[in-house]
This record gives sequence, C-alpha cells and structure tokens, in this order.
Amino acid sequence: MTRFAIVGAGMIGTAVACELAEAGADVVLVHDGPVGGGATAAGMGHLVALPGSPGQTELTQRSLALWRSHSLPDDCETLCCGTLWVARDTRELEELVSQAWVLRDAGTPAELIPAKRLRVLEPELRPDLAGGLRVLSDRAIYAPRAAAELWRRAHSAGARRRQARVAAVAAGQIQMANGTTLEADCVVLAAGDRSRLLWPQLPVRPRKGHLLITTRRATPFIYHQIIEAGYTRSAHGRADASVACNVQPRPTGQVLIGSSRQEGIEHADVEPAILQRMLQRAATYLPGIERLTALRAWTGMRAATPDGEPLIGWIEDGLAVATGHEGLGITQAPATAELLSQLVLGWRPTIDPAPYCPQRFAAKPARRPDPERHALGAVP
Amino acid sequence: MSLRIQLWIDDRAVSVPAGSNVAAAMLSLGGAHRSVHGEPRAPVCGMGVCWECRVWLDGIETRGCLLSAADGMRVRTDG
Repeated sequence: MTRFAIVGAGMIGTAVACELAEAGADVVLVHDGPVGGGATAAGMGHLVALPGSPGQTELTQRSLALWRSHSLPDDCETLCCGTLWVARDTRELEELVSQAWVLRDAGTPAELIPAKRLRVLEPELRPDLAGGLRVLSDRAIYAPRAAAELWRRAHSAGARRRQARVAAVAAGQIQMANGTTLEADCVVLAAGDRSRLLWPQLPVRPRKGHLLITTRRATPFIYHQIIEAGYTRSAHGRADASVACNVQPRPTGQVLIGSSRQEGIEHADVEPAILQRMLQRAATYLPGIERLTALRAWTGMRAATPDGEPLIGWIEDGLAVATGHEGLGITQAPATAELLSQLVLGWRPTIDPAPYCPQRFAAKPARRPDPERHALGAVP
Repeated sequence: MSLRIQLWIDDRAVSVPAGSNVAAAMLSLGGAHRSVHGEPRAPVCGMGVCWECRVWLDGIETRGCLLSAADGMRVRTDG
C-alpha cells in the first residue's frame, strides 16, 4: 500500500488526508498544533466565487461544487449569507458587471442590484453607493471545525496522525525536531506559509491579514457578506499594505470585520495602525460599524505565490506540495485535495493541473514529471 | 462596617461594599451573562482583557471590571 505523510493539519492538509485515506491509501498526518489552528482558524471561512485568472476560476468553481456535495455537521456553522459586492462609482459598477458575466459563464448565478435596492437589502450601507452584485450561492463556514470534520473522516478511513514539530522534509522522509523520522513513499507539504521553512526554494511567502470581531447584537447588523468592488484589486495587487472592506455577519449576531494585506511582515502581532486603516475602510461603507463594540482582533498569514496561483503537485520524486492559496485556501481546499490526490496516485485529473504546477517558476523549465514514472501506482 | 451600595444586574438586586467594581458584583451573583448557547459565563481576568464581564450601561457596552459600581446603578448583560 502506498504510504503518504502529510505535513500540516489545516484546511488543505486535512482535506488531502481525507481524500487520500478515502481512496484507500495509507496516510499519516503530521502537525504540531491543533487541527485547523493556523491560517484556517484566522480567516473568515468565506466560500466565495472570487473572479480571477481562468486557472483560479476553474479551481474555485470545482471546489465550490465539491463543498456543496459535503454535508457538514452543525458545528461548522454553515451560513448561507451570499456575497454582496458593492460599487462606489460607475467605474466600479462596470467592474461588477464584467464580474457578473465571468461568474455566469462559470455557472454561478450573479444578480446586479440597483442602488435603491441596496438600501433595502442592507440598510446599514452608506446611501450613495452606485450599485451592487449579489452572489447568493456563496457561503461562510467555521473553517477550523470543517478541518476537524475532514480529519474525523480521514481517521474513519484509517488515517493516523503524529503530533510533532517537523524539522526537515526530504523526498520520502520527514525528520522531527525530537530526532525521530517518518518514512513514506510520498511526503505532501501542506503547511501554508510555513512550508517555505521546510523547503526554502518554495515560491511562497506570508501575506499578513488582520481581522476583528465584535460582541453579539440582538438584531442583525448586516445580512450578507459585504465586500467592496475594489477587494479583488487588493487581493490580487502587489501593494506593501492594502485594506479593503470585507464584512461578514456571524450566526451568533457578531460581526467579523476585514480585511488587510501586508507583504514582508513575519511577526503575527496586531498592528494598531493597520487595524485602524482597516476599520476606517469598513466604516466608509458601513458607517454604523462605529456603534459596534470590538471584542477581539487577531492576525493570520496567507500563503502567497508570485503569480497568485496555488502550488499543487510534485516538487520532485517523493515530495509533493499543496499550498499557496493566498486568501482562498478554504474555498479551494476540496478541489486542491482532489487534484493533488489524483496527481500523486497517477489518476487522470478532473481539471488541468498546469496552472498550479509548483515547478512553473523554475529558471529553466523543469522536465514535466513522467506520469508513468512518478505515479505511485494504483492503490490496492 | 464598610458602607454598602446596591445595584441591579439584569433586574437582580445585588449589594456590594462601596468601591467594588461591577465584575465583582456579577461574581457575587455567581456570574451573570450567558454564552450564545445559553451556558453560564463569569468574569475571568478582572483586568479588561477577556471581556467576559461585559455589560450595557445607559446604552453603552463596557467591561464590568473597569466600571466602578455605584449605588442605584442598573446594568444589563443582554443589551
């Protein structure tokens, strides 16, 4: 039986463990913190049809379809809030119109909302917006519980786990900080931005984000996840520090407020100056935010790649990777797990893996792995 | 004997020594607010960090541990 060792128990690592274990492979999940305790717990858990490159769109659409086929337990707090994109001026509204067509072409219904109706749907929005775009199929989940659920499924299918700090990875072997080693036919690196600490050539870097949550309200503040049209520019941009309004209603009556992106920051401290910019940005769209009480703020590290596409596939014989999803790790986890499993098992991929090939940044184009040679054979 | 004052937390009268804070008054009731699933909660840190003693006073949400109790004060834990 082919033995897999997966490093990282976030949304991606647990999804890969679940996929491989359910395919009948021998799986060990290696991690040092709680399941889903890293970027998985730090994010908003928004399952969002974010427009992007054709590769991003295909991975997202496949993944959202897989998420719909999962029935998650109640503790994952699935919230069918949809996404309401809002435009401040006609230029942004035109962007939302093109976004609507991209989504519709990909099979996701998207409804343009005239300015007058925005105020009916979301009375807290500032009154002078140009219009919006509503995507009702988008949802939010409590991602650390979803990771725990995928781990439960992997465990039921025979997967084991080892709680240990990983010191180094090599093809077919993991060295733990305590001196022990774990042998496997294939090691899968799924440790988010920390993957680069284990494989320094990996083109992934941390992109820090802040979030803030309010205390509970007896009546809902907003009904949709509300995102400014410029969010996509912030997400795909290259600025050293950017903020964009992205606000989510929680089932508890709390309000989760984002978002920020910072390059080149290694420490996880909450930075008051960035937090202030982020809240001012959110208050530009939702002035009533100033009435809410902040309960906690925290940060997380997105795993970003130079071209914005994730890294899914072989690094070399016996070593594969699944990370680099930036802000879309939760959204894209099921399709990432499906694709990675198909690649490492030598099965025909459901979607084209080329846009996510981890070797695409190599100075000289690396020889594409020969599927016959690299496939680890059919799983018994 | 120290001077005692009386305040109301969610319409429950509680008597505490003058100079107490509202979190102490909540503790003397055995806790006050409930979690989102209805489980009892109580002040933990007593120094403004955990927010487990949050109360509403005159329409403003604040932390009971940073709020001096006053005679006749009325606070609510549910907004």
